[in-house]
Amino acid sequence: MQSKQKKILIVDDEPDILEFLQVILEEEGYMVVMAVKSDFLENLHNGGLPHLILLDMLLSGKDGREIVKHLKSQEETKHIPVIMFSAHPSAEETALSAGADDFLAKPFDIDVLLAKITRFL
Amino acid sequence: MSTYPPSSDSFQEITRPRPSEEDASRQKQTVRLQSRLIELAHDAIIVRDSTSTIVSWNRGAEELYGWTAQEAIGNITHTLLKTCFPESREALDTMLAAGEQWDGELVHTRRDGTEVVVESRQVLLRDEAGQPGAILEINRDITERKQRERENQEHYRTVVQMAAAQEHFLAEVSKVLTSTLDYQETLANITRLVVPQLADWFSVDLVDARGHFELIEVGHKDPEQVQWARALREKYPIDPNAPTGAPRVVHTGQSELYPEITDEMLVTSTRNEEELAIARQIGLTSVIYVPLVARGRTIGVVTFVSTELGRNYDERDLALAEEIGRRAGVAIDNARLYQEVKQARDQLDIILQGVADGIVVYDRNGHIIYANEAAASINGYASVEAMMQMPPQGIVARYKLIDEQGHPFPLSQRTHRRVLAGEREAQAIIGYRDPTTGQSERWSFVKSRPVFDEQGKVFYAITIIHDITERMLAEWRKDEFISMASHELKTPVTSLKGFTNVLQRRLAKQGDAQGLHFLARVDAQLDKLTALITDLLDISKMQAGKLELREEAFDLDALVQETVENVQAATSTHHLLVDGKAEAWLMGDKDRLGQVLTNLLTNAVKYSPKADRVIVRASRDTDHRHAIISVQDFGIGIDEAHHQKIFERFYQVTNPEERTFPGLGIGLYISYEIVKRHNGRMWVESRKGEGAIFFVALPVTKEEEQVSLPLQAGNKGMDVYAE
Repeated sequence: MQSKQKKILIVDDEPDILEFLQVILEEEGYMVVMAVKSDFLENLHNGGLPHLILLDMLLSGKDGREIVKHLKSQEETKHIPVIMFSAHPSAEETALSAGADDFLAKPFDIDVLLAKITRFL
Repeated sequence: MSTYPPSSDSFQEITRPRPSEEDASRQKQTVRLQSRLIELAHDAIIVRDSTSTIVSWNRGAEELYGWTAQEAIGNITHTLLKTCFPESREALDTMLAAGEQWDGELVHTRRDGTEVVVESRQVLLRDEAGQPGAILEINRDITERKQRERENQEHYRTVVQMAAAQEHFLAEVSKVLTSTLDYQETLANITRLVVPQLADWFSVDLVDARGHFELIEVGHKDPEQVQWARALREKYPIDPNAPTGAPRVVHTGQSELYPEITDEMLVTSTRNEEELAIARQIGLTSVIYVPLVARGRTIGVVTFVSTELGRNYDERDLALAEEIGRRAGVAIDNARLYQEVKQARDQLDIILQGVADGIVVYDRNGHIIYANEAAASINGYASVEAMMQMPPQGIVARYKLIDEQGHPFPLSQRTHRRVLAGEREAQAIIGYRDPTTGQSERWSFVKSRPVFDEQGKVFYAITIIHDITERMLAEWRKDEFISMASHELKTPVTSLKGFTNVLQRRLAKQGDAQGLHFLARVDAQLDKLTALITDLLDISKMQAGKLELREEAFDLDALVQETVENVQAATSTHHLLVDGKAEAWLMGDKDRLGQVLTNLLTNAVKYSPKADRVIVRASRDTDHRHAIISVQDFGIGIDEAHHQKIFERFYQVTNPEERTFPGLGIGLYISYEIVKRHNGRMWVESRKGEGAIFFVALPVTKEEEQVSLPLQAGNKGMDVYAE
């Protein structure tokens, strides 16, 4: 509706995490689209491409990395900032080398996340 | 009898010039004495004229040759005596004519036809005018002496021949003794040499510590007799306390020679009738017992028995027998030693082949000279033989060797190489990776040690390979589990924290101060829970050697300030005071070192509940190469007994009231490991009840590097494996 409203796509397999992120981000005025890793692609174009993607590295760490690689390899999506998060703090290197723009270790302070989002949007 | 005056007259005539009138009476006296002397002489004294006709013939000549003076006088000397001249009669005559005295041996034939050897001395007498006259000849019978000489010569020749034969015999014995290290074969070979040449019966007994005899060899030309002799010895073992024979040899260490065995001796040395009958049946003639000596100890007795009539052993046989005993003793001892060594080696080999650990022995060139089955199997060989054939360039069969980080393991770092290069001990953990699948199939803990030669140089390297695949897998499973568990724990904590944030925002809008206070407590506890989970993950990483450290240059004072501010923000009970500056740039993982400081500060606050301050000091060590940060609290203190142990994993100090302080064990261990990985040092000074000061010393970046360091400070730096 509002052209100024920024759209954020959140990809995580944990519904609780999707839920609280949705609540807070919507309160902050963002439009939130959520996906689990399996239906991520169909949600990517759902109502237009997102302005930012929050991507969980996922348990193996491999799927998240493949997703970011894919996004960054596509002309259409490569400009979209991707913030990855993971419960493995040491996954930061992996995430950044795969092409993520930023990384956040779980669990995180919501204020830290919001600050990072603000940096990109 | 013979008429001597004429002959003495003729003597007087020819030997003396005609006397003057006044000397006549004395002259007569002298001639009479000389005539008596000639008659008394044992030697034959003969005078012949220039035609060799005998003119005088004394009693000695009568006794030697058998002719009376009357019979002999008038004969030609050499015709009568059938003289054999050494050269010729002419040669003798020429010599006498030249005025020389002739000395030599002549052979004469007596009247009875027997030959006699004489030592002869002859001289030609001349008259006043110098014309040749009579010839004086004195002959001494040396037949017996010559006979003795001849006998001696013959004897000498025999002795030499015998000695040569003995020498040859002993050489043969030696050859036999050294030809084999098999003890039974050696003895059988000696027996073949000795029987029947030196003995009709030959036996060797070993004697044990209690003096009991064990018959280990018996020889006789008839094998049936040998069987019989063995059976006999079974029935009548040698009495160790017998006063004669073999027991005596063992007792004294001296040989026994019995040149002649009499029936009386048999009677006294046998114990009963049957034994006596057997001894008589054997028909002993002569016996020698010699000790079997090895390394100065009598280990047995060798017996030589002659049953042949007429062969009685003498001193010479004894000497030979003793020599055989000496040489046999050495050979048997060598054979026994060899057997012992061989047995020990075989035993060791069975043990080595049986043990689960791989064992490899390398020579100084790195060639494998021994390997057991376990070693071959661990290294991927079908057999020990296949492994032994490998070149010294390392064991590369099915596997590629890797280190714990998965990097190729260089040959120069292999433990046997390090030991051959001079290290006293070398150890390593080696992984065996299948090159086709890229999977690490086995892991082993390898340890090498050198074996030195007499000069103290490395001779061998012995490597023991202990399979730790199971342990490594278990470690990994554990690490994997902890890693997984902490991940699994963090996910719900993330949700909890997220919803807490959601609620905080709601309550803030509603102005519910008390609700916000409660939620702040929840949030703080969630942070602690997160920290504990992170610690668990760190420990599992450290254990696996996988704790990654960043390397970047940073200002230590800035880090101290920042960390103190952060901890102060969460602490209302204590004032955190910073004293001094380190003025140091460090190279390392700033976040991890910040974690160390945070840990020390939170501990200081936690363990000094009754105090109100914590002092942080920053300085340089006296050597200026280290920065020192200390954190002092004024709390309960730590007993000296715990000072080192508190840095160990999961170690906790329990105070007298049995109240434990959870968390300490993990936090200090992690801090200690992080500092260690930065080549730093961490220690504590404290007394119970007097507070504690924790120190961290970290190496300062070199001065010359500091100039460019600020430029690099913002760089992300490089990830390194600290090990």
